[in-house]
Amino acid sequence: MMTMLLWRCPICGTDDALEYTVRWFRPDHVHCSSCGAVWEVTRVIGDDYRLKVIAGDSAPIGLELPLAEWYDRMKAGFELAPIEDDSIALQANELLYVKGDQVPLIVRVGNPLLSAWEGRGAPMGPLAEELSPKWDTVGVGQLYFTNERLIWQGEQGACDFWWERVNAAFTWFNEIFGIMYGTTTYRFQIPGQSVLKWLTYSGHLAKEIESASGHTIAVSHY
Amino acid sequence: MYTLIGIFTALLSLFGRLLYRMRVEGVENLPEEGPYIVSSNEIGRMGSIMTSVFIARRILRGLTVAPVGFAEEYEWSGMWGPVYDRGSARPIFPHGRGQGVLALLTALRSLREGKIVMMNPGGEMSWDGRLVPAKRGVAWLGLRSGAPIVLVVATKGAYQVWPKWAKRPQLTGRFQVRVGKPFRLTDSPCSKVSDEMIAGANQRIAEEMTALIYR
Repeated sequence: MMTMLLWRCPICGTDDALEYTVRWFRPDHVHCSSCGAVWEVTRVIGDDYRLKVIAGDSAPIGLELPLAEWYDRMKAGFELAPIEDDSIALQANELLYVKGDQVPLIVRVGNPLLSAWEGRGAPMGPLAEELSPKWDTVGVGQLYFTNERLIWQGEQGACDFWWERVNAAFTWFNEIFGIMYGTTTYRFQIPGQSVLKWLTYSGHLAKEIESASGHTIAVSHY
Repeated sequence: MYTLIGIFTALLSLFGRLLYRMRVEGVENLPEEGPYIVSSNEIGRMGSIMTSVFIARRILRGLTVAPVGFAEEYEWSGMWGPVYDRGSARPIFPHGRGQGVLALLTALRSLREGKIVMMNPGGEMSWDGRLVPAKRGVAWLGLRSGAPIVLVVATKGAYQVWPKWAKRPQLTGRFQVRVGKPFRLTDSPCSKVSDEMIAGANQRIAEEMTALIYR
């Protein structure tokens, strides 16, 4: 759905507020549940999609732009903003930015997390090289994105992925957010949220980390 | 196995022609033998599928030598895997760093052996239909080897037919697959490659690709 790309409202800046409505034999609509803006969607064959604002109290009614430009506007207004959540204990000065529920943690077969669980630190590799690696799910849990780490908390226990040891953040198809932790790949399947949102948060945090400590995290294009 | 892949790719090609009026332009620009680098854009799912189908059909019909494919594991182990010359290459993991370096060295050796190497400059699919900025791999390879680059791209309408963010393709739309004329980033292989040379090479690749996609 288009709301995977436009994961926050380009007008009011609220995360996960847009809803896409398919309307048979009429142009589809995108609606913001926060500010009330409504866009009409048009496909221009051989070109891009175009979105025109048709309703909303504070929305620029009549403004019509290609989807890519709405995406630029959405990104231009983005800043890392902490959220409150009592379900996780954070360290002093640690800020929570995003949370995902019912998130499967997927690792390569051979990862020690599948057989032995020691402490909170996720294994950083290396794992034996395979031409076509197989993947398995450790479990389902909550995923927290903070300025210090990713925390996955499932029934088996909790696992920390410290950003200072993360080398890359990427998406895998449309549902999986992945990281290269040391030399080991971890995948998180994020239901109900855009993986592009997680990638964008990673990209902004990576810039902060690089300017603060010099550690670079390669983030997929977003 | 090859018969099945042949039938499947023929059906996909027919599907593209019937639904999207897809044609392939510039087929004569794709040399039969290496060394050269074949690169594609990834502005949408259908475009990626159809450029792969075009190359796979050329290989299966014996019109092009199978390239050494550098791709992620799902392409490696999936349908396209058996079509390519996998040689000593390994699947690339997104931002695999050390693994990426090994892949580049393998690709350079393959080009020196006269083979065809398949690698995409952006390395991933675009979310919004615009070109993903080129990373360093193809530029470095083109400069170090001196081998020509042949672009096989899907035109801009391919994004709208099936964007990365959509679960299913649209059944209407229009796009073409275009094969560009081979071009070189350098007259002779460079023994050293600087950041400035990479930037210049990437600009050239982006210009060539943009001209093909948006013409």
